[in-house]
Amino acid sequence: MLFNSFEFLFFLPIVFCLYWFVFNKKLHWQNTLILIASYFFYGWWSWKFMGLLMLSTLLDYAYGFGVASSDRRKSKLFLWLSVINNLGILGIFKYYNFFIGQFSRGLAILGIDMNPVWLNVALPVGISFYTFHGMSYVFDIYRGKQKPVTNFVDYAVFVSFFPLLVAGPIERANHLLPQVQRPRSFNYIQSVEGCRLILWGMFKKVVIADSIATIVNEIFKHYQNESAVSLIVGAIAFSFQIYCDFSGYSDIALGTAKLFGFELLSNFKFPYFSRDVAEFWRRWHISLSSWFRDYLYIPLGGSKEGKFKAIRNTFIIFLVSGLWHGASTNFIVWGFIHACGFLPLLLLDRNRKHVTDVVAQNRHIPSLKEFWQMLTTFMFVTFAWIFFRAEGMGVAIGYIKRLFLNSIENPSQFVKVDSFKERIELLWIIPLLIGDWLLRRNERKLRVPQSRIVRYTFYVLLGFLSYLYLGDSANSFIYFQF
Amino acid sequence: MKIFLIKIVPLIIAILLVAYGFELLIDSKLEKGNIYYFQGDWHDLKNHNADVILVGNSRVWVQMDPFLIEKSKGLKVDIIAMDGQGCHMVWLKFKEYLKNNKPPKKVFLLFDSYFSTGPGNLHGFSRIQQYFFNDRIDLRSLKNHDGYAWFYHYLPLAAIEHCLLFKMLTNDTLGYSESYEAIKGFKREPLGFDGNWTNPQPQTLEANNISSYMDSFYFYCAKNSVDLYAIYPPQTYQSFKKFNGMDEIIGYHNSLNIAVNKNFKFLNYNSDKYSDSALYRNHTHLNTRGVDTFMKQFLSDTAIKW
Repeated sequence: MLFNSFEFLFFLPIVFCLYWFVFNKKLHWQNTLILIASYFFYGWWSWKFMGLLMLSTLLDYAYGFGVASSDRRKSKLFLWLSVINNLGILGIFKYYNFFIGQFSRGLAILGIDMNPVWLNVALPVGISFYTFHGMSYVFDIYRGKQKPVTNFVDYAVFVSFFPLLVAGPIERANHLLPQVQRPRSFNYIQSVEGCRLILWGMFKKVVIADSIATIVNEIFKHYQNESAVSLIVGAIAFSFQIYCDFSGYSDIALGTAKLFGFELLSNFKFPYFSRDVAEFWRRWHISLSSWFRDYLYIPLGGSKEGKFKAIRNTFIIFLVSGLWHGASTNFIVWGFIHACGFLPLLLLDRNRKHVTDVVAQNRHIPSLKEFWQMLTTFMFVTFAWIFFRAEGMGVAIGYIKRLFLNSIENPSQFVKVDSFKERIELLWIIPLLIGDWLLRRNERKLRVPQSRIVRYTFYVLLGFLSYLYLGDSANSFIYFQF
Repeated sequence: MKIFLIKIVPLIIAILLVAYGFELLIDSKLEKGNIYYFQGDWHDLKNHNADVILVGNSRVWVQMDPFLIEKSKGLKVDIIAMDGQGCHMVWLKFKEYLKNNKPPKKVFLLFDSYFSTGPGNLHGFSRIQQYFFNDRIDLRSLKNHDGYAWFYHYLPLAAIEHCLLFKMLTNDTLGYSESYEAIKGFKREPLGFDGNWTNPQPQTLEANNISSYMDSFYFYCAKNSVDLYAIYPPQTYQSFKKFNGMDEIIGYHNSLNIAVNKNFKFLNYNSDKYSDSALYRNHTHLNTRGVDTFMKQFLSDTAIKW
C-alpha cells in the first residue's frame, strides 16, 4: 500500500479508530493490532513476500537470545549468524544478479565463458529497511545497549511498524522498542502535529515530487536531444524530486507514527541548506547515515586511528551506502563522488564544522558566504544525483557529456528563457524552499500561522491540492525500490 | 480525543467540499462544450446512426478512410476506435455507441494481434477521463484494467490528470479543434517510413480471456442482423512474417464459440503486395500511399456485400 493512495486514506482512519477506541484497553492488544495492520499494509503490495518478512523477523528475534548469552563465543556466533542471515537475504534478492553479472564479465575478460544463472524475482519492498532493523537490534544486544525482547509481538512491531516498514526511517531498537513496550495514551498535541506532517508530506510527494517527475522523466529519457539548459534543469529538478519524494514519505511516516503515540527518528533536516558535503550527510537520510556510522564506520576504527584509516573508512561507508541503494555501478559511483567531496573536509579537519548550527542561525537571510557555500554544495550534490537517476552508467556519462558539449556549442541558450516554458511545475519549488527555510531550525515542529482562519485555509489548500494531484500520483516512492 | 475528532472531521469535510465545488465547476464547463481529446477517441457518441461502423484500434483511424467509403458506397460511416487498446476496451465504446444510436447495417471489426488483447493497462486514459464528470459515460466497466480505481467513478477529480483539468477550466482545446463530423477521427499518416524496417516489433496472439469480448461483437451482430466482417489489416512484411499469422488467427476464430456459424466473414488483407516499405509510416501503420492501396482493394473486394 502506498501512502499516496486512496486505500491508505481509508486504512489509516480505520486502524486509528480501532487502536484508540477498541483495542485501547491493553497495550498487548494495541501492539497486536499494529502488527496485524502492518502485515496487511505490507501484504497489500505482495502477500508472497510476507513470509520473507516474517522469517527475517523470527530469526533475528531468536538470534537476539543467543547474542545475549554470557558466553562471548556463543554470543559472537549468533551475531555472525544474524549478519549472514540478513546480508544473505539482501544478497539473494537484491545483489545476486548484479554480482553474478559482474563476475561473469570479469571471467569473460580472462577468456573464460560463464553461463550465469539469473534469478528472476522481484525485489521485495522494504527489504533493505527491515533487514537493517533486525541487524541493529542484534548489534545493540551484542554491545549491551539492548536486552532481548521476550514478547515476540513487541519485537515484530519494532521491525514491521507500518509507517516505517517499506522506506524507513531506519529505527534503532533502543529508541523504538521502549516506545512499543510502554503504555500509550492519546496525546492531542502530538496527533495534531502528526496530521500537519502528513498533510505537508503528502503535498511534497503528490504535488511537488510527482509533477516534477514528469519533467525529469522526459529530460532523462531524451537527454541526447536536449539542450544543455534543459539538462541542467533536469538535474536540478531531480534534486528536488528525490528530496520531496523521500522527505515527503518520511514526513508522512513520522506523522502517522505520531497518531499512534510513537516518535520516530528524523530522517531529513533540510539538506539543501547544507554548507558542505559533511553537513549534507548529517541532514540527508539521517537514519541510514547514522546507521552506517554506528555499525560500520566506528567498528572499523572511525577517525580515531589516524588519517589513512579515516579516509579508508570514509570511502568504505560511502561505497557501501551507494551499494545499499541499489545493485548497480551507478549507485557505487554516486557514493564514490560523495566520498571524494567529503575527502577535502576530512583532510582539513573541517568535516565537523557544522554539527549543531543551521544556516543563518540568528538571522532571516543567509550571509553571502553562506549562500555561496549552500549553492556550491547543492551543485555538487546535484551533479552526483545524475548518476543516481540515470539508467546505467552509459546514460549518466552521456548526459554529462551532452551537457558540457552543448554548452560549448551553443552558449547563447543560457540567456534565453524558452527552456522553462512548458515546465511551470518547477514553480512548486518556491513554496517548498520558503516553507523549508522557515522551518529550518526545528524540523520536527511545523510552524503554522497564528490566525486560525489563515491556518485552516492553509490546511484546506494543502489538502485540496494533494487531492487534485492524486490522479497523477500513481508513482510509487523512489525509495521503495531500495 | 474528542477535541481532535471535532477539529479533524470538519477539516476533512471542508477539503471535500472545496473539491466538490471544483468538480461542479468542471461539470458545468463540460456540459456547455462538447470537447474531445484526440482523434475522436471518445467523442460524443450520440445520434450518429451510421450505416457502417469501423471498429478497432489505431489501424482503423489511420488506415480505414471513412470518407472514401461514404463517397464510393453512399453509406454513412462512423469510426469506433481506440488507440493502443484491445477488443475489451473497444467493446465498451461500441456498447456506449449502441445505447444512443440505431444498429448499423455493417460492422467491420479490425482484428489483428494487437486487438486480440484482453483488459490491460489504461493506455490513453487521459482521453476518457473527462467522461467521469457528469457521469457522461459510465466507465465502471474499466475496473479490470490496470490503473483503474473503483473510486474514480465517485471522485472524478482523483482520476484526472491536473494538466487536463486546467484545460477544461480554461476551455482550452483538449486535442483536435476540428469537429468529429469533419474528420471522424480519421487521420492519414504522412509518407516516409519512420522506423526500423529490419527490426520489427515481435507480435504474439494473446488469446487469453478475450473470447467473451469477441463473442460479444458476434452475438450482437447476429442478434441484430448486422453483417459482421473481421478484417486482418495489412501490416509490414516483416511483422506479418514474424507473426506467422494466418493459421493462428483463423484457428483462433474457429475456436471462438459462435464465430464461424453466424453472418460473419474473415478477410485477410496481408500479402506480398504489402511488403513495400514505401507503403508504411512504421511497422504497424500504413502511410497515406498505403491507405490508398489498401482502400482500393477493400472497396473492390467482392467478398463484401455492400
